[in-house]
Amino acid sequence: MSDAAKLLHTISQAQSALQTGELTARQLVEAHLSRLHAVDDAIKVVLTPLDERALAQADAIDADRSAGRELGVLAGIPYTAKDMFLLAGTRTTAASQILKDFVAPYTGTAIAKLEAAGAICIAKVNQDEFAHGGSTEYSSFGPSKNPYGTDRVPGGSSGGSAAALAAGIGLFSVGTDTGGSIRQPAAFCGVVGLKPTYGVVSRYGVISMASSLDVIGPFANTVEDAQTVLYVMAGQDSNDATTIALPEQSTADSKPPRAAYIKEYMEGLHPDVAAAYTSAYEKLTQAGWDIKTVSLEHVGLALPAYYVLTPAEISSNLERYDGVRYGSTSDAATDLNTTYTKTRGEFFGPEVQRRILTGTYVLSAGYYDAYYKKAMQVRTLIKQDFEATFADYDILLGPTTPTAAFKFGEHSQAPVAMYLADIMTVAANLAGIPAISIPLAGPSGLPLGLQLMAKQTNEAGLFGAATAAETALQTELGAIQV
Amino acid sequence: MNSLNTQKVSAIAALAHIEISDENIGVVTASLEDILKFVDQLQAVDTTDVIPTSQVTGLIDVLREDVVKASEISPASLIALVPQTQDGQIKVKRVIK
Repeated sequence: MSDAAKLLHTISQAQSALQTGELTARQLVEAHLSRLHAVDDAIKVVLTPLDERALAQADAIDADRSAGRELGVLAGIPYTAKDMFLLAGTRTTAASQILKDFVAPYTGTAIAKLEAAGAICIAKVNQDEFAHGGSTEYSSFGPSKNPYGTDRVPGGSSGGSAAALAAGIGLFSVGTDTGGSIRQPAAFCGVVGLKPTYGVVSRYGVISMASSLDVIGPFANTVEDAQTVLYVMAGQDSNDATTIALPEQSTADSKPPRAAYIKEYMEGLHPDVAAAYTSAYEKLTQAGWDIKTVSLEHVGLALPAYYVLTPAEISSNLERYDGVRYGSTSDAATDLNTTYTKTRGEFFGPEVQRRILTGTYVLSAGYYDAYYKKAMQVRTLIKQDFEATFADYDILLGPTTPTAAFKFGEHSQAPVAMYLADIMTVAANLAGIPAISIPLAGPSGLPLGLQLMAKQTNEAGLFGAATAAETALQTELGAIQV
Repeated sequence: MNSLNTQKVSAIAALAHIEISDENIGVVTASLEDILKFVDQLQAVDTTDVIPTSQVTGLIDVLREDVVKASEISPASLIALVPQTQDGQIKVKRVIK
């Protein structure tokens, strides 16, 4: 990376360098592409680099700027996108062999809005296959590595996004979060990760996982950058009937929020991890926050409820991969039924198959009430717990993950052990509330994340509190290894 | 609650349209048993009279104007994605013997 570009850590820094002419969009994009090509062998985040396309966009923005034409808020800003996002004319795989050669025929709404604002996608990046996992070890193209320790996972499922940003590839990334897939890798890689309220960003043109839980959100180096990117992507979309409008952004309330940490999330933590959070709460207290403790009665049931509801929705959503209309197809098929069964047997990875089978089981006659309906009822109880708590508090606090990034192979052989990585993030998805993870220094030089949650559509309050927390914490992470 | 066996898992796999090899069915059955054992803790919760939640933002009957508009996606570009085609149509293997 050139010396000039190296200093540009945030979107607003890059914007001012572009505006003053200190840097052209081409120079900025070239710097990020060269960083990408220099470090990707070490961290394996890129599935499809988009050099040519990105440089052409940069030139167009430079030309617009020279001609004095109006530019979008992200004009010339390089970013990466999880491979769940359709971008017309580019390969979009969901990190699955079943979509290994799939070229998107159209661009999804979120990416179209980023492009319209002038952002430049420099690469499609790695993830767990179909976003099923918490480490990228379930990517059918091989795992990505954590820049803070290349023997460790970057988290998942949006692990490529988090690792790329932490390694200086792009100034932000976009991912999807069904049960923690933005916040958990953000915590593991020392960046900011935001899961907005359900429905704030259109899911049109994003590969579906579990439709009642999936949200789209940004990874960024600062809370302010995450806010900028979210507001570009947000908004109602006639192509996604579940989208909602956020209330008008009010001016930030400078009063400290009414905050509490969730008692259940602090139980059973390793003492070194617990100490990092205790110290964070103390710093916030010194900054004027009055932090209480709350107990959410049903929050401990979020993970089992999630692992009924999510596979159920997955089994339905992934039925579309039939080997007939698009994607890979089995050469061994002899009739229509074996086109389905052999294609899905050959090209879906083991975790995807496990989830489809679990989902098929919990939805099947005789088990629907005991599993699926029960989990939907528990979801109600969890949602009500949050609603009641948000009557008294603006912000709930807790760890994003119970541990820092784990080593490769530590959980990948035992599905339930891997599921436990989501234990502190899934509740926000079940309740549909916004949650953000901001970096915290953890034990042995590895990052952790402090998670802040707010009630539905209170993104403004969440950003205000997260910015205040970012300032109060002054987190300094160790050096990356790449 | 869960009493899985390889036969049952084969039946689920057939419903899910996924071929699982004989050598894999044991491993798959064991992992599904672990997952079901984990989620079985839900059974202990009293959910009498609790209304199930299937969506969280409370939207009801989201409708749009019923107007015809041209798709930005051409039929040809979609047919180009199909693994096997003939005369611009999607080709499938035989359905009935």
